Amino acid sequence: MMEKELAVINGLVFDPLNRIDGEKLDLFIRGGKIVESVGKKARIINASGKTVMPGGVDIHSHIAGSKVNSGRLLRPEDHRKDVEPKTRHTYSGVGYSIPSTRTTGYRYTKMGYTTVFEPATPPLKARHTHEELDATPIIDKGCFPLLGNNWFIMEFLSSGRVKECAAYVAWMLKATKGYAIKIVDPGGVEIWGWGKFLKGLDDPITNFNITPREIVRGLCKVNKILNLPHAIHVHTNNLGSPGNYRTTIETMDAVRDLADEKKPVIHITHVQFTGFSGSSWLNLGSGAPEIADYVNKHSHVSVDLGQVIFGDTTTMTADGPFQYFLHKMSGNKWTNGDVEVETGSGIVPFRYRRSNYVNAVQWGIGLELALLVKDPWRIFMTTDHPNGGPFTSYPKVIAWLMSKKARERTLSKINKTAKKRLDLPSIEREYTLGEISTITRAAPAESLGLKNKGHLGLGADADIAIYDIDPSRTDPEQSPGVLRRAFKEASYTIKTGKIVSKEGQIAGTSYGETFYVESIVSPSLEADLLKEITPKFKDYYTIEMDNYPIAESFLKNPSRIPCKAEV
Amino acid sequence: MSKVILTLKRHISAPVHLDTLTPDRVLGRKVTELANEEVWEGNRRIKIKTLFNIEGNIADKPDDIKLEIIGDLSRTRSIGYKMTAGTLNIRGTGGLYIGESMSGGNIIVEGDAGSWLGSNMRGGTIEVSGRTGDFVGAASRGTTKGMMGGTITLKGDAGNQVGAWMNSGTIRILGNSEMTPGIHMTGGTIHISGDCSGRAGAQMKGGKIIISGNMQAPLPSFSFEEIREQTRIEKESVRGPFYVFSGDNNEDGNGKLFINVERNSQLRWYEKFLEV
Amino acid sequence: MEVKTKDNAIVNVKNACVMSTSKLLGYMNERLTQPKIRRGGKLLNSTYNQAVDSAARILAKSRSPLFYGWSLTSCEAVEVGVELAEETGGFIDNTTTTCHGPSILGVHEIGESSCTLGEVRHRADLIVYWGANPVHSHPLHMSRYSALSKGRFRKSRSERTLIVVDVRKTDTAKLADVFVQIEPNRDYELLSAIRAAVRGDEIEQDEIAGVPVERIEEIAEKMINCEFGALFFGLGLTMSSGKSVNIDAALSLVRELNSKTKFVIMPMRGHFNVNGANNVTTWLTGYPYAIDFTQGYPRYNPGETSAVDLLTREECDSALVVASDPISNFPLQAAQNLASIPLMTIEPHETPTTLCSDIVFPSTHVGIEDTGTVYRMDGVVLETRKLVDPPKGVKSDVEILRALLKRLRTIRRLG
Repeated sequence: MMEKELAVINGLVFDPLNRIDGEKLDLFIRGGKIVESVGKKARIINASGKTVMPGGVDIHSHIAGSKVNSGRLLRPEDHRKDVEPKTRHTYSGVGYSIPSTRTTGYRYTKMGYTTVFEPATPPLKARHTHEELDATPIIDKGCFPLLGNNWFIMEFLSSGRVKECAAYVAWMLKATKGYAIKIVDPGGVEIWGWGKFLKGLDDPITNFNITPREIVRGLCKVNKILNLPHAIHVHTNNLGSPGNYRTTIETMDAVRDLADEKKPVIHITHVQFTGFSGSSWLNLGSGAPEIADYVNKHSHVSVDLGQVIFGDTTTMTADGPFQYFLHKMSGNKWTNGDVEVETGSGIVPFRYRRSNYVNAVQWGIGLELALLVKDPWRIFMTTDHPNGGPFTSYPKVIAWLMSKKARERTLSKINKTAKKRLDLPSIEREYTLGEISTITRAAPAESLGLKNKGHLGLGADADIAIYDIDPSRTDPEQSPGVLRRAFKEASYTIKTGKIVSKEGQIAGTSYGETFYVESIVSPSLEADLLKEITPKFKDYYTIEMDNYPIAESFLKNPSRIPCKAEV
Repeated sequence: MSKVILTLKRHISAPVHLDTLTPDRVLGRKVTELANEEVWEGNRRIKIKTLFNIEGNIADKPDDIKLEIIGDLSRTRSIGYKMTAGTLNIRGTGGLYIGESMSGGNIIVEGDAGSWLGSNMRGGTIEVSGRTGDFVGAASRGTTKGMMGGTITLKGDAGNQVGAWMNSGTIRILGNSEMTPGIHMTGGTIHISGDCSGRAGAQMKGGKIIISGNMQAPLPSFSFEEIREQTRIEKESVRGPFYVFSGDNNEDGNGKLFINVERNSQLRWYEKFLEV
Repeated sequence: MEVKTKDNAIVNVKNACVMSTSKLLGYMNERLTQPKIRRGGKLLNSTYNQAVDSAARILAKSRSPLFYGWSLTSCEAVEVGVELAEETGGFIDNTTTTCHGPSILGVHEIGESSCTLGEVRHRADLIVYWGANPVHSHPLHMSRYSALSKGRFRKSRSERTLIVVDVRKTDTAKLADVFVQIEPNRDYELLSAIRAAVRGDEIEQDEIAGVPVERIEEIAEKMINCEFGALFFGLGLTMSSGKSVNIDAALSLVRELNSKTKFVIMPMRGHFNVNGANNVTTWLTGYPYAIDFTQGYPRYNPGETSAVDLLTREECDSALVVASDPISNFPLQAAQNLASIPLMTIEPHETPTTLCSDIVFPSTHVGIEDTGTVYRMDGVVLETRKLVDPPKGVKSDVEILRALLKRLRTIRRLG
C-alpha cells in the first residue's frame, strides 16, 4: 500500500538527538521523510498513550554472509524448533538463533528496528554477504569488511606507509561495498592460520613485522585520514580469556593520543566478552567497573554490550582461535573457515546457563557495563547476535536496564557465588525511555554517521517505531513484563514512510538500502596503489583482481556515502 | 477395551502426515470429530474421513484407548508422534517416523516399517513384526542426544544407524542389522540376535551393544577386554559366551561391545590377549 | 582463462582446464532452440507462451511437485526456484542429493575445519586426496591450489608431501609421495585406525582395510608432524559403503588433528554451481538441499525429503528439472518414476531427461550466454560473464522461471 502522506499524532516522542524526551508531539511524513506538515488526505495513526521512537539501529549483528550461512548449515536442529510458515505477505523461513534471511528482516521489523549492520564480512566473500543482505527484506543495512589480519595492510603498516595503507583501505571499502573498518583479534587470526595463538597486544606476528597494537594504531590513523563516518570497530585480542579486561583497556589506550574532540576514534564491540577480571575460570569476575571507569574518563571511546541471554544460542565470530578454544571447552561441534590473505571464522553452538558460575558472571558484566557507563551516547545495546543471544531477546535486555526489579528476579535465579562476585545487585540505576532510545537508536546512528537515521527531526528518514507503553500511566520500571511485551512487538513500524508492520503483522515486502562508504583519495595515489598491489594480488589470491571489486549494480538498492580523504 | 479402527480406503500418492493420530490426542473426543480432522496430503489439507473408513469407540482413559490403522501406510509420516499413552496398532506397512518422540503407550506394527522408527523416543514401547528401515531410535539431524528411554523390539531385520546418538532405552533386533548400529551412542542397550554388517558402536561414548550373531570385526579403535559367559539387559540375562570389547577409544568411550564367541570364529585370535 | 569470440561464437579457449574448454567449445552441440510440448506421445514444437501456460497449469494443480537440478545454473535462478517451490508447496532438491549429500550430513553432526583454497596454496605442507582423482575430475586443482602450486610459504613441490588414498592407482596416485591402496568400502575402518594412531592408541589388528598397521602409524606421524595439512575428498569416500558415516569419520579425524597441528578438510565439489545452490537454499530456508515446502514452511530430512527417495516411493506427482539430467544419473527406479509423471525441463541441450519430458524449455548457458553468480567449492563467489548471445528466442533460466511464477500466480488468482 502506498501511503503518500502519513501523520503520527498524539504520541509520546523520545527523540534524544533533538532533545525530545517524552513530549506529546505529532509527526508528519511525506516522500519517506519527516516534514513540517501534511495535507488533509494524509493517513492518520493515532499514537495516543503510546511511545514513539525513531526506528531501531543495530550496529552489530551477524545476519548475513559466509560464516552466518555456515552456521545455518551446522545447525538444522536449531531451525526445527522455530519455523515461520508462509503467509499472504511474507515468505516462510526458520528462526531462533540463526534465522533465514527473510525471517531476519521480518523479526527486526516487528521489533521496530529499521537499520542493521552485519559487522564481520570477509572481503574475499563480500559478494556472499551482499547476496544475503539483499535477500533480507525491509530493513536498511550495511556491512563492515574485516581488515585487521589483512596481508597488504600489515605490510603497509609494518613499513610505516600509512598513506598507502589509507589508499588501500579506501579501495577495499569501495571494492567490498563496505561501511567501516572492522578489526577482529588483530594479528591473532593470521597466527591462527598456523593453528597457533596470540597472547598480547605487543606479540609480534610471525612472518609480518608488526604487532596487534601497531595494526590498531595504524588503522585508527587510516580511519582519520579517510574521514570515515564510523570509528574503527574493534573486537580485541584475548576475547574470552580471564583477565582480558586489561587487554580492552590497553587497546582503548593504544589510540588515546589519536583522539580528536569531535567523536570517538575507537569503538570496542561486545565488551562483555572482553570484560573479564580474575585469572582463571574459577575466580572469574567482572571487569566492568574498570572498563566503565575508563570509558567515563575518556571520550575517544565508544562501546557496545554483547549482552548474554540465558538459553541456547550459536556463537560465531571471525575470531577463529577463540572459537576453537570454545569448542574444546564445551565439547560442542565446531566449524572453522579461514580466508586467504584476510581473516577467518569459527562457529560453535553454546548454551548459557543460570546455574553456571562463568555464564552468570558474564550475564552480570554486560548489564554492569551499561549501568556504570554514564554517557548513553557512547554505549550501545547489542547481544552481538547471535553470540550472546538472538536479537529477538532485546526486549529482555531493555527490561533489565530499565527495571531493577527485573534484574533482581533474574539475580535470584543465577549461580549464587556469581551473584556475590558481581556489583550488579547494588546498582540502583534504571535507564529511562529516553536513554533506551539513545542506546538503541540515536547513539548508534550518530556513531555510524548516518545523519538521517536515529532521530525524528525535519528531513530525517521516516523510520519510526510506535510501542505500546504509556509512561504517564505505568511505571515502566515496575512492570518489566509490560516493557518486554511492548518492545517485542511494535504497535507500528514505519519504514521510509510506509507502514511495514502492525501489531506483529508484516504488511508487504520491500527491500531497504545498502549503505556503503566511498572515501575519495587523490587519483595519483590510487593509481600508484593499483600499480603496486596488482602483481602482489596475483601472488596472494586465488582469484583474478578484475573479479574482486563488486560493482554498484550488484547491489539491489545501493546508497553511496561519499567522504573526502585527507590524501 | 474399546477401540477405533481406521481402514485405508484409497491409494495414497503424496506424503500424508498423521502426527495428530495418537491415542492420547483422541481422548475425550467423538469418532465423528476425528473423522473431520484435517491432515496434510502433499500440499493439500484433507479430512481424515476421505482417507479412512472409521468406526469404533474412544475409551475414557488414555491407557485404554486403542487405535488400529489398517492398510498400506508406506507413504505416511509420524503416526504416533509424541504419543503418551494407549495402544496404536498398525496392520500393514508402516511409514516413516512411527512413534517419533513418543513418551508412553505401545505401538505395534504388523508389517514392515519405514526409517526413523522411534526417533527421539522417550518412553513407551514399539514392536515391529517385519523389516524396518534406517535410523531406528535415532536422533534428528544435528542433535547430539537421541533416544532417551523406551523399548523398541524389531522381529525382522533393521537398516543402518540403529540407535544413532542413543542416550538411554533398549533396542532389540531379532533379525539382522546393517551397518553402524549405536553410532555416537552415549548410553542404553542394543541387542542384535542375528548378524551385524559391521561398524557396531562407531564413535560410541557409552552404552552396550550385544551381537548374538556374526560381525566380521570390531572397529580398530576398540580394545579386547575379556570373554564373558553372559550379560544382562535390565533384569534379563542374555547367554553368550561373548568376546567383550571396550571403546570407542577415539571418543575416550566407555561403551561395551559383546560379540558372540561361537558365531565368530574369525575373532578367535583375540584370545591370545588373554594369555598374559 | 582467455576466451576468444568471433561473430557471436566462441572460437578459442586458453588457460582453462580440459573440462571448461570442452564445455565452452561445445556449447552449441545438440542445442535446443525451440520449446516443446508432448502431444500424442511426441515432443512437438510449441510457442514459449503455450509452454509456460501448460507448465504453470500442471504445477498449479500438483499436490507434490518436485523442483530438481539447479547445479548448472546461477544463484539468481536458484532463488526463483526456491520461490516457485514455496509458492506451489513442493519439494526442492539439487544434485547434492546424489553427490556430496553425505558430506553435508556429516557437517551437521561434527562441523568442519576448513578454509579457502588460497590458504592451502600458501601454507599446506601436507596434502591428502582421499577417494578423489583431481587429475581427471578437477584438472587444475593441484597446480592452482595444492601439491603443484606455488604459495607464499611453500614455494616448490619439494616443500609439500602428497598422500593419495584410493582403491586403485589412479593418475593422481601416480604423482603421490605416498600412495595408500585401500580395500574397497573399508574407508571408515581406515579413518578410524588413522585417528587411533594420531591419538597414540594401540591398534590390536595387524592390518586394516588392506593397509598394515605400521603404514597407518607412519601416515599418522606425517599428519601430526606437518605444519598445515589439507584433506580433500571425493566421491570415492562419499559413495563408499557408509556414505555420510565416512565423512563423519573424516571430519572427526581432522578435528582431532587440530589439537596437534593445523588441519583442514574440503569436499571436492563438482557440478559447476552446486555449492551456490546449497548456499542460496540455506540462506532462504535454513537448509542446503532436499527441502519440503508442502506444509507451508521449510522441512528437511534427506532420506525422506530428497528427490531420489521421494521418487522411489512414488510420492511426487510432477517435476520441473532445471539444468540437470537426472534420467541419466538417478538409480533406475527413481529415473523410471520420474519419467512416468508430468515432467518439465529447462535445459540448453538435448539430454535423456529432455527426451523423456512432457514440456521442454530451451535455455541459455550461465557463464557463456548469460551472467550469474556462482560459488566455488570453498565458498568464494564469482560473477560469471556473458561471452556471446544465445540462439534467437532462447531465454535464461531466470526469465523462464519468473515467467512460470507469474503465470502460476495469475492462474491461482483467477481460480
